[in-house]
Amino acid sequence: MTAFDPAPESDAATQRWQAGTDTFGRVYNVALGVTSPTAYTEIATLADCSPNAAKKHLERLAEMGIVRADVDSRPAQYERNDGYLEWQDTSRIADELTTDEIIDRVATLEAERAAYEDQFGTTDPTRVSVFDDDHDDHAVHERMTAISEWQGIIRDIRLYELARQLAENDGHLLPA
Amino acid sequence: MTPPDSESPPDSTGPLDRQTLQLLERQLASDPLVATTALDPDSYEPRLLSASLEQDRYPKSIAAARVDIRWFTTADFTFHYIEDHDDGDQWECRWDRHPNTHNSRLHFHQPPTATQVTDLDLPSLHPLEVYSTVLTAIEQRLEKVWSE
Repeated sequence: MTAFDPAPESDAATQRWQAGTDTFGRVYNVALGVTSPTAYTEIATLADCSPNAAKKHLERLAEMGIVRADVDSRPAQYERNDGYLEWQDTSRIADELTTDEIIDRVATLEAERAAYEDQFGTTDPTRVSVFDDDHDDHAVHERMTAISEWQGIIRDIRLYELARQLAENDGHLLPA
Repeated sequence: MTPPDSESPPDSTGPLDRQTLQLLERQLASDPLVATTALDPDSYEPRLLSASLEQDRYPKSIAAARVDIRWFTTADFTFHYIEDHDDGDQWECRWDRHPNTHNSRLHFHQPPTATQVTDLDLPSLHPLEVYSTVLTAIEQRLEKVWSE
């Protein structure tokens, strides 16, 4: 048996996610995965469309709040608008979970956070290296997963706290 | 300790990227190779995206196959492919990008045990492109399991 190729060169690979999607859908999906300012020409290449079409759709997505635009750079750059998308997530949680459910989830997450703080001897996961002393490969993976989960827990606690405020204000950011 | 390559932030990693996991879940759900998708523990606190692959695409000797995906806000990721064989063995490999001591930030854990590690070169690190490469590689594996 020949060796397994982890990165086969194939047209099927680039087209795999594009099937059945129109140009706007492809630009939208590409934009959701773009986490640093990226030239619209590059986004056009990823979305397999013309630069003009990509720019037109990105401007529309920027008006909707889904992407952030830096039109002063040449060429103009775009990236996913994390603030807007986080608010969407928060809003969905406020809509779908009761205040009691949110409070329960926060309590569980706070206990998990405390366990990680004990395990690593600090309250700040960004100060912990994924490498431990014996450089064992398996251990690196385990630590990476743990540190990431710990950071996720801290973020989810904040998200739920915001969701609880939204729920208490009937979906509004501010009390009426 | 081998220093991570120059593009790396400090030897750590960020929380899971909720938006990318949701994007990948939507894509996987419409992929012909995928039977079901799940966010673990749930969609409110996604930590792991798991995709079960269509069993009727596999010979009977392979009881189940799945891909487990983690994607981090630091643009690190793991795509872990696992086949459960009837004889109790697993056949697995993983596409990884994260700080590490064994070789470059982007690397591949070779099948069948995912212990041997080699450098990996990908045309793009966009989540949709990585997903497409991984699923296409799995499809090529599928062609081989029928001829074994």
